[in-house]
Amino acid sequence: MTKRHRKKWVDALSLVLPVLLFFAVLNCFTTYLYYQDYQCKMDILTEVAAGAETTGMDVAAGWLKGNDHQANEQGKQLLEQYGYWENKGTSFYVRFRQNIMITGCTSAVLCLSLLTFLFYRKKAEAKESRKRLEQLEQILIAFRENHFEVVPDTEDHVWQERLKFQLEAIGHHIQLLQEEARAEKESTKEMVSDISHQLKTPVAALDTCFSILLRNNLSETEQQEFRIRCRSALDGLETLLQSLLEISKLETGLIQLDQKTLPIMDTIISAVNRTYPKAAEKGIELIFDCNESLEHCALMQDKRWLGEAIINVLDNAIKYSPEHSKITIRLQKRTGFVRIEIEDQGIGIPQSEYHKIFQRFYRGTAPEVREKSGTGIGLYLSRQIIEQHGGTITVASGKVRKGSTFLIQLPENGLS
Amino acid sequence: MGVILETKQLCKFYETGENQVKAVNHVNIQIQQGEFVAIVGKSGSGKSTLLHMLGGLDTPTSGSVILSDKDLYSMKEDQLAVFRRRKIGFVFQAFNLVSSINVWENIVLPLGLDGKKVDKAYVNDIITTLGLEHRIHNLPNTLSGGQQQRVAIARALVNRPEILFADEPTGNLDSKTSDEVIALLKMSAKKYGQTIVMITHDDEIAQVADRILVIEDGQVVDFN
Repeated sequence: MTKRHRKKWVDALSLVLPVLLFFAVLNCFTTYLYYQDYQCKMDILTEVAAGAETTGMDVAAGWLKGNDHQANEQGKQLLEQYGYWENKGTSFYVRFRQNIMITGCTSAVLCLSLLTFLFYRKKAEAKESRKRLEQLEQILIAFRENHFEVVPDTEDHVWQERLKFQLEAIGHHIQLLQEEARAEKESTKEMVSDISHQLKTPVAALDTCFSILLRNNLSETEQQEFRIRCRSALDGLETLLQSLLEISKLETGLIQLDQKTLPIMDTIISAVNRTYPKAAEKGIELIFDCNESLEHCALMQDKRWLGEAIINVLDNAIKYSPEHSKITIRLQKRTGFVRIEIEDQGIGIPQSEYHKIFQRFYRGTAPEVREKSGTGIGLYLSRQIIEQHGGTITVASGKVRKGSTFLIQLPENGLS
Repeated sequence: MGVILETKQLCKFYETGENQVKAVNHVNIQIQQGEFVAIVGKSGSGKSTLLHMLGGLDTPTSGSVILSDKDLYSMKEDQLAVFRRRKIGFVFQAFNLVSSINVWENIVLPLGLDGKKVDKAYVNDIITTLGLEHRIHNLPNTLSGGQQQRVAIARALVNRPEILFADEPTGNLDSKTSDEVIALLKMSAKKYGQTIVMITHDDEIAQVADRILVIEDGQVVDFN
């Protein structure tokens, strides 16, 4: 027997058996009641047959009062003598048999009609569920062909409502994924054009320098000057290329952050160590302010990239701070997050530029920013990295309305 | 990205005696799926009115709001109520928690309203993400403001809404707690793939958003 057949049989039996069992029990019970009744009548007859000692009225009153009664032995013997005891031809016995037959037939009819009803209902249900399946199939086929308008046509209200919402949600999700893929392609395109644009300026500068150097009418000092200019243009180009390389890796999804639970202090200390020489050059003091409890605080992070993000912020702070100023790094443990504040006493950032500084290739409008070399990539990269860690980076003005404070929040458990 | 929310010439005017106040004046905005948008404006700029209309809580004078391809204000009241319950999550400044039931019951409350089963694994995941695992048996009034707002965020997320509206979610919190709540909001939306529209008057808070819209005298300007 195949699995399918077996299931069919089991299904049918599970429908029929309980019904049959129910009616069988019901019939046994009624038969028992009828038999009790028959017995009772026969007991009364024994009294009537033996009725010499007491009056008929006494017997009747006794029975009606519900006195404990038994068959009168004398009457029973008399009935037996005349052949009426346990005779299956008596009118009482015939009535008893008739009653059983009527109840039996009625329950057979009821049982049959109930089974038929259940059978048809089950069939209708099966049909309905097959219809739903077909509809679902149609909808899924439509999804595959990029049609996401779901209109299941059924009278079943609950099914329609619930499933429709879910199907729509799946449809939206697929659409979202498609859009994401498209957006990623667009952003890659955009980036290529951005990069070409960024490369244009230094390459043009190099070009000019070289053309001038190639002329023969330059004095030794002039030649020297242009050589130095070429060198600095090349240096700028190199830094730009390096950042572009990192940004492109991060943007095109080549980098999958490899997050592990590691102590945050180590990451910050190594970032500080790497920026320390630059700070020392300008005589800037780096102040560390943190609670002891943070020393062992570990969070989900990709140490290399998170370090990179913090270095970018620190670099910026050093770059735009005056000599002999202070940069304070504050760490605090909050519920679920580690809060890192990096406060400098530098030129500050106007409020209108707060969110722009995190955009790709954006550079501040202040003349102090313009005169420093920079690519407008660092903070953008920092934000990307930190957001991929499930964290945030924002900026505010320093405590004494001087300089800026960068606030980084990192979740302990990452985005897992 | 697909557009999840769009308004077309959305207006809300109030008549006060002779004068007409244009709280929201011909606003056309589009919000992409998965985006975190901050609407920034001073008090009285019409930002709350705008948010209430975006979320189907207030009827516009004219114009339409299209959320997930459905015109909110062409729906019947009860249809809109069901739609709101399933597609939209709200986080308010005043937390709006039910004070007589504990944190867990507050969080799963929207599921009960919708006759849905509680997906315990998902609810627990939200609770852990929001750092509420040791607080689920507490009553709301035994929690700090930041904790209460985290419960409200969990409650807003529990129905897996497609979009979350936050109305000055940090209005009642100190600055450090505010930073934290915003970071949580952003993290959970990213984790569960939801779109967020948040209104605030705080420029520093708004930076966390992917896009900032500025509302002034009922009109919206894209800040980027």
